[in-house]
Amino acid sequence: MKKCLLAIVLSFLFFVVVLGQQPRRVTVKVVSKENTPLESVSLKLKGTNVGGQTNKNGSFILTIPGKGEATLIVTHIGFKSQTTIITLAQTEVNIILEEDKSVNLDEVVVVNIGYSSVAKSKLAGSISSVSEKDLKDFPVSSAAEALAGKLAGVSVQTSEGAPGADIQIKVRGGTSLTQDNSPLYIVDGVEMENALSVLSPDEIKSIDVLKDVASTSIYGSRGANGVVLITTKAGKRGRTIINFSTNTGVRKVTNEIKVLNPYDFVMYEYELYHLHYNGYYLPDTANTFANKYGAFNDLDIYKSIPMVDWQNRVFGRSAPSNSQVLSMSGGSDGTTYYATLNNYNENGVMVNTGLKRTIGSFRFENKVSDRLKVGINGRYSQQEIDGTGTSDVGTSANNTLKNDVRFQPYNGLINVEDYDPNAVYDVTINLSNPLAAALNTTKYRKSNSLFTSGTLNYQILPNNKLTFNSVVGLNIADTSINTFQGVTSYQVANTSSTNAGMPFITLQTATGKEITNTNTFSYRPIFSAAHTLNILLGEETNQVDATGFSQTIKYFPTNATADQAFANVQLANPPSGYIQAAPASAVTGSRMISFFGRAMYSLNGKYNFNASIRRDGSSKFSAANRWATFPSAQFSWKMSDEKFMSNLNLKWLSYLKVRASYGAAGNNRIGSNNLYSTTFATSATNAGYAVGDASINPGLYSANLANPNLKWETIISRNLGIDFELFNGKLSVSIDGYINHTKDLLLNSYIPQQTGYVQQFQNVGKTQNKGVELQLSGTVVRSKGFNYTASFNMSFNKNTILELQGGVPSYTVSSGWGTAGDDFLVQVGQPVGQFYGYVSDGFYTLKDFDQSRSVISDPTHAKWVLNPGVADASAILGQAVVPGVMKLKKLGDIKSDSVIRTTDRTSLGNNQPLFFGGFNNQFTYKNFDLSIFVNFSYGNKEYNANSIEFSSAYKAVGNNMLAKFANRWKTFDANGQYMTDWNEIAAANVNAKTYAPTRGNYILRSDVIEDGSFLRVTNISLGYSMPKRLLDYSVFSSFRIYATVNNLYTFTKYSGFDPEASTRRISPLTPGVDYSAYPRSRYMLIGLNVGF
Amino acid sequence: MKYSNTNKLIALILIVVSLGLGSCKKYLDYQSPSILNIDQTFGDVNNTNSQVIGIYTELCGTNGYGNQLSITFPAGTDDFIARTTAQYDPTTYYAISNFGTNRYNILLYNVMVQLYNGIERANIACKYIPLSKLYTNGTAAQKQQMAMYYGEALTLRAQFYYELIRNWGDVPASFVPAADRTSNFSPNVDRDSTYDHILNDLKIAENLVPWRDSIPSYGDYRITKGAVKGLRARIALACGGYSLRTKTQMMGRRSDYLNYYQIAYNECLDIINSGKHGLNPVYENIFKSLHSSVRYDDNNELMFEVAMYGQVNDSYLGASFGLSFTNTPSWGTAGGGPTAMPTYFYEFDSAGNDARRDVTLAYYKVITDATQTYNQKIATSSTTITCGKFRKSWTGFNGAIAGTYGINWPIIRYADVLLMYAESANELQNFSGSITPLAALQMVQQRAYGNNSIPVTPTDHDGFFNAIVKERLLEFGGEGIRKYDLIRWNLIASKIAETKAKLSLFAFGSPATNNPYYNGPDYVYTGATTFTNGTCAYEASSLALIGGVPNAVFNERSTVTTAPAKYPTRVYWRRDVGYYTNGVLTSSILNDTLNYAFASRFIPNSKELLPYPDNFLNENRGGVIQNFGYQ
Repeated sequence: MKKCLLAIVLSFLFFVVVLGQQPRRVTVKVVSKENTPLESVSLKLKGTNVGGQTNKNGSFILTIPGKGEATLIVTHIGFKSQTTIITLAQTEVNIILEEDKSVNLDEVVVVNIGYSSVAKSKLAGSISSVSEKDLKDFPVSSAAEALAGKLAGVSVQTSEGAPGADIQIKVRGGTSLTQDNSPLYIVDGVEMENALSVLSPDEIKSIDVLKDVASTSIYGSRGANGVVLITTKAGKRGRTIINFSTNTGVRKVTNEIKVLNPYDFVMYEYELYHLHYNGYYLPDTANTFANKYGAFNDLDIYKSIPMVDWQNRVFGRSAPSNSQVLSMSGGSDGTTYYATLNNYNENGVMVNTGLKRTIGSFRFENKVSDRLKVGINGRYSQQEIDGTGTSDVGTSANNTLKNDVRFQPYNGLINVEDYDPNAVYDVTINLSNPLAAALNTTKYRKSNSLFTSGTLNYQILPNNKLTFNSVVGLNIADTSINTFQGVTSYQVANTSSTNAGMPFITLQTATGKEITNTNTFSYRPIFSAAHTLNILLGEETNQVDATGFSQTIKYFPTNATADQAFANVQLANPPSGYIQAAPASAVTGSRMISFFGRAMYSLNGKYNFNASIRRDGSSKFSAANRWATFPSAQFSWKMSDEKFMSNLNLKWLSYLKVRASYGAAGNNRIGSNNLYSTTFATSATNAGYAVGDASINPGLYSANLANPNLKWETIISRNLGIDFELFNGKLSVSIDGYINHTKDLLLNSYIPQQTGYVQQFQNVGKTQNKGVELQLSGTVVRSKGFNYTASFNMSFNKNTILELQGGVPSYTVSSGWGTAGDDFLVQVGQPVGQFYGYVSDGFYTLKDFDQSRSVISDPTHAKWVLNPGVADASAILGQAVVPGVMKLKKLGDIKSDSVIRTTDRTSLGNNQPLFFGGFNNQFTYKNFDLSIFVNFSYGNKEYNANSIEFSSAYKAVGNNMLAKFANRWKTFDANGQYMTDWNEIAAANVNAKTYAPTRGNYILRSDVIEDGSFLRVTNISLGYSMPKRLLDYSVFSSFRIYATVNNLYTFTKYSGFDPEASTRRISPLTPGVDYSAYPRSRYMLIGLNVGF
Repeated sequence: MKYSNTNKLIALILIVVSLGLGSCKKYLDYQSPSILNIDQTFGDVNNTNSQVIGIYTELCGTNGYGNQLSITFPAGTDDFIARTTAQYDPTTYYAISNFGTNRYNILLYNVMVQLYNGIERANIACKYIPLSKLYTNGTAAQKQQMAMYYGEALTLRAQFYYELIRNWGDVPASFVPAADRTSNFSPNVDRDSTYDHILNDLKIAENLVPWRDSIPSYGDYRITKGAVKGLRARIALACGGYSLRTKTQMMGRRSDYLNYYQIAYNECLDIINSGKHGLNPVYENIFKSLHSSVRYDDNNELMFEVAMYGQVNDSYLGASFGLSFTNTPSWGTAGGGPTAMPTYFYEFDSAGNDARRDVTLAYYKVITDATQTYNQKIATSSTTITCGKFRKSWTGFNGAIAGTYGINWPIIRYADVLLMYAESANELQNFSGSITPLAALQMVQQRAYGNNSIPVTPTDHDGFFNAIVKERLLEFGGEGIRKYDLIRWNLIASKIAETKAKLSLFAFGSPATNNPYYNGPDYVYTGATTFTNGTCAYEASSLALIGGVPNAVFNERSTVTTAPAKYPTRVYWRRDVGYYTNGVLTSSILNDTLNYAFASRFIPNSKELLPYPDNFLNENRGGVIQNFGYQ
């Protein structure tokens, strides 16, 4: 052991102490009664700081300072402590530890409950946990990804397949209607925004999710959406352990959207060029079709030309990824440390996309004295995400998946367009060459973040009777987003009046700084063995400051590349009459002060009462409404300790506990721009005026209608839980039921427009989440050499809107991707996110029309007349109703009027699953381990917006369609003649399976609302660890190789890329829209993990 | 380390913590430096100016005078109409221009939101400027500037309310900032009381804002005294004029309407007597001045124009309304939009002496030659005549750039002041002003006729009134004035009927007698000639038409039946108005109710007002009553 002791004290001071000693070495070996070496046994010389932990062989070389006898204290969890005298002559000590039967091993499983930990058996709240063991098989880029399906009551949804894509985590359903529903993340006691997305699974020791509000209310504010407590790995006393793990693999997309082949595509184009959207024949007098595709008689040639699979060209690559993690940990008796370096490099399946990340972290803990412990934690990460991907928050014009799906499916012939680096956005087809667009639009998102914290723990009274704990956290993040829009982009082509058809770049930078300081006193008086009491009093301040800067620089030469533009902004040169846009900057911030207290009382560990209270003050509310108090109470009863239970002598039931809790928590997640008072912001667009020509003077405007009454949103929750173990602990079960009510929702409500505003933040409305969660874990087989353990969880949650602002029964909102009219309904009595549209009714066929009144003999004047009572969808579709047109159901009173109007929309279901969960199976056989993890979701509907777009010729010709349209209704005969004979049309369409692509507006209808239920084989991992006897001959202390497949296969009826896709995420009101999502891929990798 | 040291450390921390708690309140009073509060805004002259600029913003853009309020809403009477052959859909802009829209039209909603947004910004200014220290206790210069800003805010608020009332009637109205109101809800307010309020505001404003020549930096982009007075006159005439009344469900006017003519009379006479504004001797130059930073308006005929530029606060004038350019080498594709009533051409002087005709009506379009090198022009058919007052070629935006071109919208000009003066003096039969009503009218006429002699105007009340009605049609075509003039005169129904009758004569071609259009051609033969972007008169007269200059060609029955070599293109003229099958006229654009015919869905005493948008009614939860024509 080393002679130097390094101590770093951080709260406000740092200092270093160096001590010198004279060595005397004694080898201590600790074994159990069965003669098994015991690892991690604590050794300590009485009256000194000298000590350590045994290694895997149960031994430790003790360095004894000074001369004379020494008293060695040996302690180990689950064993009785021993004291041994080491005489001067001894160089070896052998100790046999005796098991302590009085201690149930389960008791020592501790759970972080916020500001302190508690033994699992005394837990009264509802908490789900995962440990590093559960994460180790998931070599994925972020911890969030590894969590999917692992925790009952926690839904983890990956929005799309892009590198670094958003992962939405919701605890027990969302409560808020318009605000962020993500939980609060606390990393080692310090708040950290979005922690799971930026931490790598390798760094995490455990994750505890506080689910019932009685547990979260100790975090008061923002606890409403659940609290995720993350503990990172720390060093252990003992020898230095160096660990190196690496893996490498490839990603590959698993499916693609089938489109028409070249011949069918051209035949469809022929129809499009010769059929007016109102159904009559359109003579192509200018020969535009023939000029572009050739004469009708020659179209057979398209049967023989090869199809170009653009999706494959853009997404088809085998994208390699690799990661390396090096960690070093160890410690002496007073000091532990853990340092890690993590490098991750991912290529997206789409060309020009990828993710690179490097993390260095360091964790150090030092026991300055018996009473004072200090720790320091530092973490630096650098991340770069490249590529624009395919989805955008804007309208369909800004989303680019359509390029890859809809571009003409062939090369050659007329208008050859293979990959053309000089291709520009083609306004006639509203598409760009897919490869050119993917390569010429660039986006770099770089972020650097520094996360540091210092802790100080001081025992004011010994034996942890009264301790003071202080944590200071500083979290700094810098992000920069550089975007380049080349001539292939829609923005350049279609807003040319401001862009002059020239490339432009946008440079955005943002910095965020968050400081948290928490100071707590913990008091644990000792009455008797039966009673334990733990009182916590604390204070916390939280300060968030953010700055942002953005600048758009336009008018680069048309051939400028992205890197040239970023590196040389002075290349930009506005043509005469144009001016550069002004830059914009913004500073925001919020402040919060909180006081809290918690009392936990336990009688014999059998009855546990907890009560907590927290008072929060937030700068987001006016002085009168700033403070709010959130109380809670919890109770648990370990029934299996009761006599009447043991009298029953239930052999199969070894453990039974019931839990109940009730509590309140708050939410202040709204913008921090003093929404309670009238303020003014500067803007050239919202408040600009051209007081001279060719320039805009920015002005000031009031962006929000002040609401001085704004106050905390409150959630009240009731939770009832039961934990039991069956068959001698082989199966443990935990069931929780809850009802959460959220009131005074901070809702950006619609208000009468004569106020001058459309929305105002108000405390209105109520929502409810009810649910049941089930967790099972157990050992299925335990035999010599073969073990099979499994865990299973399943969550049911039902979200209901109980009240909206001012008692309105419902209102509609738009997901904004491009439908005519709103496509979501917010309705009292229903869950959030109801799809709102028309009911599909197949397509119009001849029998819907009145043959006697329809005039079809003259193609250019063809006129179709519907039979009385047949629903007329023309106004909604934006095209005349003729045979083969999509048909919708009339829902209202059909007798009075059969015209379909916006009032014929109805709820088409929603994205919320009936239940979801995961099933994890871990097998070990000798030195092999295998894990199979599946997660599932049932009953959720998915809004396939891609399918609407790819079924419509709205806005453009020359766009390919879904493959199913090869079997569409036909209007032209085999010779390309418009059919004018009733019987001929009937005969030609005997086998028509679908409507012809729509020609008018994009509308939401029920045929694109699909069942999004799925069962995903998320992970299969096979590993081999080198056995001990081999390790002993090697330099390794551990060695494991493994092969893993992530996202192996998804069983689903969903026809799009991925049933989990959700690309309209700005508002929680529009979930489950699969529009232009980046396809998800399968990831196969092999890895190696060695310890030294 | 000794325990005593650690205890000191703990004590220190405790002190720091408790100090922190003492300043809780201050700590939680955080305001971002990116935003300004009321004191910061109105405690500074420059910031107040910026806030007032924020009010002007709401005049601009597609939902302001950049498109809907200038192009869409005013179309549909005897000057310009918006038509399409697309199937009728009440939620399009065509439907607004054809009196056939419904509550689901999002454009109505967008415009209404923007106007009320402007009112709210003005309400804030009108409350806090007079309360500010600078306004009451500042230096003389500060006081004067703050007063000016206050006057501008009052005037802009009046303009927003005027726009709301003339389109929707008894709209909810409030004159305090929304944050000061006890409720976000407010019911319909009788338009007469709102009009009285804003007329009173304008009275205050005209004493706060100086004449244009004492603030040259304002140009006519911002409100000056002449504009305040001119708008007050215009609003007074609207208030004293007819409108569709909620109570009677009829067109009606208040009994004391002459008081409002008196206001208009006084204001106009003040402006005339001030000599601060005058007529531009060249009619075309008024509009040219709207297009670029080069001004051709030395007499300041333009009294207030909405200055627009940039992507968001830009105008679609010239882009969606104006002379049509198709794939031209110099200007790409632009223009089109609402087209002239085919009969509008014939309202102008039949001898072609009125210079306004060839400025207002672009009966040609600009195309390219086969080599994509030269800009050429060619005659249009009679139903595709565009508004020549807006032309991309007058802007600095060259090339194929599509989008918006920063063309400004004239809100009020001096010719309007003269004609309002003449109208109100005639109504009041007051001939005591510095000039007679007839002289005022003839000043406007003479500018248009140049050296040619002007027609004779009757001087009796009704005769003179009719002359005003006619003159305003000729003077303000395409400037968003006609529809609202006809409503306040209660002539909208009769003029629509009259125009339909004229159109019928124009289309059906018979009878020969009493058909003023009988001599007009069925077709016109034209060829492409160079478009030089010259004066309107030159470009019109140099059109290649068989039969000579336009005035002659369009007033002559042509005997040519096949296209001559020099004039290879046959365009429809009288034939363009009807649908002919095998040479037999079956229907015309006036009775085609399936599509967007001329005023096809106008119903007298019903559609003079627009419907309140669906969202607006919903958010008001029954507190606002829908206009009865749409209930």
